Amino acid sequence: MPWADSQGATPPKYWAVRIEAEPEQLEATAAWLLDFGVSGVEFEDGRAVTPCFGDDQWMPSEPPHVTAYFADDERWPSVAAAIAQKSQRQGFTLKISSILSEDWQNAWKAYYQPIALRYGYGIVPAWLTSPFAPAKAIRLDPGMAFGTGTHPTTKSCLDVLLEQGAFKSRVLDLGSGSGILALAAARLGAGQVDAVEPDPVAVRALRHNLELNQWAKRVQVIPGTLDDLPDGEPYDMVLMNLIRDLIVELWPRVRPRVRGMAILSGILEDACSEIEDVVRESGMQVLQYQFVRGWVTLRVGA
Amino acid sequence: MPKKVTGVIKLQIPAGKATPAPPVGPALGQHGVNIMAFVKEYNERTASQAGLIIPVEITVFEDRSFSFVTKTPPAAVLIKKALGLEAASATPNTKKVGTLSRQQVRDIAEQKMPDLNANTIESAMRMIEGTARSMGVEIAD
Repeated sequence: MPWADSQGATPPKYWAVRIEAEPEQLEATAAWLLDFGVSGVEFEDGRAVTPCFGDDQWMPSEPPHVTAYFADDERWPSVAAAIAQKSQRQGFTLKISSILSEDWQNAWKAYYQPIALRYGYGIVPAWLTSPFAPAKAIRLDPGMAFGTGTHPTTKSCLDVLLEQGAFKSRVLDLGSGSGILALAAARLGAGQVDAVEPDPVAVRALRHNLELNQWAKRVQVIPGTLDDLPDGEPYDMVLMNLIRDLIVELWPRVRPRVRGMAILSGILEDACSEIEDVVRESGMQVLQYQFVRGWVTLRVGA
Repeated sequence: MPKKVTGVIKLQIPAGKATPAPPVGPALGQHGVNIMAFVKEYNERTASQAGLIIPVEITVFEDRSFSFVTKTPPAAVLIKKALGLEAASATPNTKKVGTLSRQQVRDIAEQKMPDLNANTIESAMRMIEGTARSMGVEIAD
């Protein structure tokens, strides 16, 4: 499976440690578990929650508890002993169970359905049958990488890109994640797409997605950052679906390599004016705004 | 039209540095939430607080869409920060790891006030003191 390690190693196992305690002891217990170096805890304090957009208050069905996950490594036996000792001393209810990482890496896929884009294009999860015309379908297995096409920033980036119509040109996709935008550009007929991605997990997903789409030979994967991008002709289209800080940092260096336009996304609405300033300072202007659910996508050009 | 809520997930995870690894993966995966979509949005919204553990409440709706709100850092994290503590006490009744002044308790209570179920600063302070004692931290008289 592509989202597991491609070397065929078995997925890592975790131990889920769940401690039920009185609400006033929960925070200290969470802090104590965090001191073991886990990257966070589940924390059910038993309080009702008033959800945004929801209808009623949400009342937890489970007793107050904290759950931490520990890798099944050489440290685990001593960690388990310390936890058991503390739980006994303080009268906590302790439950320990094992889980495989695959269980949660794949659980959400059951809910991932084909996504219809503009002009008949569409994204199809690799494990499903395509409802779209063969020439307009993009196959995708996002694995653990960003870019499933459901996030508003990715979706609106795709919308703006597709509006540009078919083009035979040079495209740069900075931080391509699963490669969804690079694939869309290639699907539209781009002559050459350079996909730059620093995260090795995403690069693996990206390469896999290129294999899933046999027509995508014009996408070139460049593992690394902007610094690893070879010198060459400027680009007709640059795609940056990143976050504000990265766009602000990278744009002055990307700008000289743009001879056409760029689509900037991953920007919260309150950061819009900051990005506009950066674009203007570089001698370009905003040609289009697209607002979706608190995010904004900008198309910019000379 | 209000959307039907199918679950609420409460986590304490590092600001700006969440990953799909546990606890995020198993907690969200079982609700059918797209893990990476959450991670990206959470990291963007908490980037300015990097280095702190932040509580987050994720509401999952019937259609698997979700929204989330972040809270003030946990009292235990603020107590450790105020005292420069590396770790809480494993045996809070016998081994004490530090002492908070009344003013420090008040400062933390004021910071936590929006997220505490407390009507007065005094009752908020009592909650902070309770957490402190459970960590092996004493309160100065």
